[in-house]
Amino acid sequence: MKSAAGRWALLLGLAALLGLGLAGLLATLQLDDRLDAFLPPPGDERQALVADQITRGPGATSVIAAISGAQPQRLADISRAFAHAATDIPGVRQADNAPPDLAAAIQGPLLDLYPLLVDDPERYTASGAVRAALRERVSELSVGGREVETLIRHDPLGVLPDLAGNLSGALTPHTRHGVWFDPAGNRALLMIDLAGGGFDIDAQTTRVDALRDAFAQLADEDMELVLSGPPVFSADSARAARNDARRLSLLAAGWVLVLLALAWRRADRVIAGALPLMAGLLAGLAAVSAGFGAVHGLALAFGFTLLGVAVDYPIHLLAHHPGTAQAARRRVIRPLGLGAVSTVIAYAAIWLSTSPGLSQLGALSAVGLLAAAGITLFVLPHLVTPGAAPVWRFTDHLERLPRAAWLPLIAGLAAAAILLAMGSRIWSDDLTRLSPIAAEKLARDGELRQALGAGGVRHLIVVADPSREQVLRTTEAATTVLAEAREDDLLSGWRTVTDLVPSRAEQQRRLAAWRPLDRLADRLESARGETIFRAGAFQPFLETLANLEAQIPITAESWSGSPLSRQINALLLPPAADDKPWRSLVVPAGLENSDALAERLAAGSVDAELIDLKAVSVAMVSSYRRDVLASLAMALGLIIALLAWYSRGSALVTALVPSLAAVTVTALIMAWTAGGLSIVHLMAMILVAGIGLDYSLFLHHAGHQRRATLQSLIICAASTGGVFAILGGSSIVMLAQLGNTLALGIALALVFALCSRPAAHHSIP
Amino acid sequence: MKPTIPTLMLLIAGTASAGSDLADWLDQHAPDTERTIAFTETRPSELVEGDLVTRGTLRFEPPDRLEKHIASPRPETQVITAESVTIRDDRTHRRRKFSLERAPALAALRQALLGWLTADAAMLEQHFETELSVGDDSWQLVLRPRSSHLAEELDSLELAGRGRQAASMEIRLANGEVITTRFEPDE
Repeated sequence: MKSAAGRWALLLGLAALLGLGLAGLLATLQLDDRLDAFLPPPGDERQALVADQITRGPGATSVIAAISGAQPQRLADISRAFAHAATDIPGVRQADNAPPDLAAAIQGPLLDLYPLLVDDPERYTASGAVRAALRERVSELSVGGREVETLIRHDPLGVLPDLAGNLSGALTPHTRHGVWFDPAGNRALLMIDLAGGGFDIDAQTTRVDALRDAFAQLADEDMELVLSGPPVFSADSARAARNDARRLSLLAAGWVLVLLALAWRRADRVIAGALPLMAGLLAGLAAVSAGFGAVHGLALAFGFTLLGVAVDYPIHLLAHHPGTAQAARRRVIRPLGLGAVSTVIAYAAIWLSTSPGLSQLGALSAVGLLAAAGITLFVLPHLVTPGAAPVWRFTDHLERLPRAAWLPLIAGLAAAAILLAMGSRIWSDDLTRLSPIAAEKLARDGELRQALGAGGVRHLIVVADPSREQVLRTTEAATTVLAEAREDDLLSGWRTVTDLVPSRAEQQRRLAAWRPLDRLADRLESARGETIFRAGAFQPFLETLANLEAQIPITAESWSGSPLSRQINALLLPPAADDKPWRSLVVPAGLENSDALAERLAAGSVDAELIDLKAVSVAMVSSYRRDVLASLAMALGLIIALLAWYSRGSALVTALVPSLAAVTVTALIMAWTAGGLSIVHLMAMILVAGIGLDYSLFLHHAGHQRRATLQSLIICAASTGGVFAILGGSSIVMLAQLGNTLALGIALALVFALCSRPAAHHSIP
Repeated sequence: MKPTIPTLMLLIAGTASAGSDLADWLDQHAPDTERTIAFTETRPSELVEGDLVTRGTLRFEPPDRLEKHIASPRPETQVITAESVTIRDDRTHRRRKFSLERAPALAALRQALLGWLTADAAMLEQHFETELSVGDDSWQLVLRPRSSHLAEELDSLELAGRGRQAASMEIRLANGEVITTRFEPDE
């Protein structure tokens, strides 16, 4: 056998190797922080649209800023200054703090295009209408202002104010002192668009930080800036995940090391105990990195919790010294092997999941645990010298506690019965639970978007057609139906891209409606003669009309650079691939009865679909959950088969009952306290089942080493439970949920396993 | 650019004394409430031959309602509040409402006149930097807007008069235009 020095050399050598490998891998790891990595994958076109709207749409690059902490007048001034400063930051496309009002319109393309945006020019060109319009312009003159005069010259018929009312949709944000405010008037609001896709997290983080810096330089001391929106969430979530990962893994590692040191009090054992963990992490991370290219921050954080599970293996191995290493291995190989393989099967089922985040998690855990078990069984025995482990008095007391195999059985069945009775109420369909962002941040974002009239969208009308022109025409047909529906109070308004980009057919029709130009010019001149306006006052208007034909066709590109282009990009979606259709979205406002509207659309033979975004996302979550449960059921079947192969009938049952009981009781408690079980809880349950199984198996295979086994179980539970309790302190809700569920589950698993422990003479030698 | 401490102290001292001067002076010189004042307003305009001339009477109803009853060019009534101006056609009685954001001169006019008519020095100080020059019998009050939003459009507003009568008001816009209003008391 190896000499002591030889062993030490090998031990330290391996530790150093693994440590360096791990450090190297962590340093070069590509981190991926997409917010949608844990979301269920879209199952059909409709779900794809919803997922699109949530993550990739133009909304994905918009940031809402809310400034508070001063009088409205001062807030308005700072809002203006901030908007200017923001547009200077590279990567910020647009910063708006006020409605795209007529003042901005004067500088934009609107002034040249607007006659083509009117669907009933006849209303304005009738001679009575022209005279009335000019009279109104005279009163506006006396209100005065350079801006007013320019508008009158370009729009003597007063078309633009009507159009502006339409363009801002039915929801108009409140304005004070010239800028947007929330309804209560406490916060000045801005809408800031960042360039690029929502996925370049580093770039987005830099821009978000630059916005905060810009604000800090301008603002008064008491003022506060709140930034909200997907780029901010990504940036914050990435930062939080990294901070947490660092902090929690250090805490967890510290906890485990301390515990091991207390348990074994020998440096070589502590180092040996750390080897499987490092190897497991290295193998798991390498597998994910190689297989997926990048690791999601949350999957990484979860991966660190492998520490808590994999640490069981060396504890069990080393608990069974003294004796030779080979003897120890022989004693533990069956329970440890079975436990490890069962847990790995469950994680392999998760690996098959269609969501990238979950899949990574499954891969990392499965490979990591296999590696850790392998190192424990085949490498460690060669590295550690035999020797007695210190004994704790505590263990003796524990041994004297009465057995109560009925407790887990009754508790488990009762919990299962209650869960079945609660039926579908135990599940949480909330998509936001699968997001790493805290619920109150999402709620605040929703509230700010409502205030800006920019979202909080529940329904969408979707039109799909092969060509852009066709999709615009169908959309116009849909808006005709909507106009009738509005007469009947079914909805109060809508936003559609055709307000700014009409179909070509419609543009031609409107062009014709403004003609003949001579007749309109005559009417205008004769009405002008009755007022104080001088000759030639409306020349700019007549020139606009004369140039109108050259403006056709108006396309989305006609508006680029204007604040209105944001609306167009959000509502007109080019094909996602060559064989996919163009899509146009119409956003209804004040919709009370969505079924009635859907009927109207169908009755009008308009090929447009009304989608309830919430219903679709709920359906996505439940079908996803069904898939995951199906995989898990399959895994459970495999595990039972495996155990049946290795154990006698009654032993199988007594091994399974405590762990299943721990799962059902934990599930019940979490369903009650967390308001419903999410996919995250399901992940935790697998681990609870796996660990519980480990405990039972070990207790049943304890043989003559009962006290040593019991003691090692306590150490296992303390280290694993401790690690997960530390995870429960994460600032990321998903991780905290995971940690708390697991800590609870492990405690229960231990208690139930102890209750069902076989009597001294029944355990398998 | 932050003001230094000495400058700050000067400012505070300056405005404090101006404030108390203004308050006293207003008490002595502001007209009684519920006055109607006839006015003729002249402003340059590209849309009419020569200048745009508006004639009518201004009526103030406490606490803060200012009405412009316009006789020419078109008979109508403008009711000016803090946020908007509502124009009511005297013949058709049709009403239209505009945000005051579009007419900064009107907003400034309203604040200035209200402050003057109600002798509210504090309100004037809040919205404007005030400069009062008093001659033998005549006086001149120059108001410069504090709000940067308003200052972009408007340089100053000058009220001039004799005794308790305002004789004229000149609004100087940032683009160089001047709106001149002559007042006649109308009891």
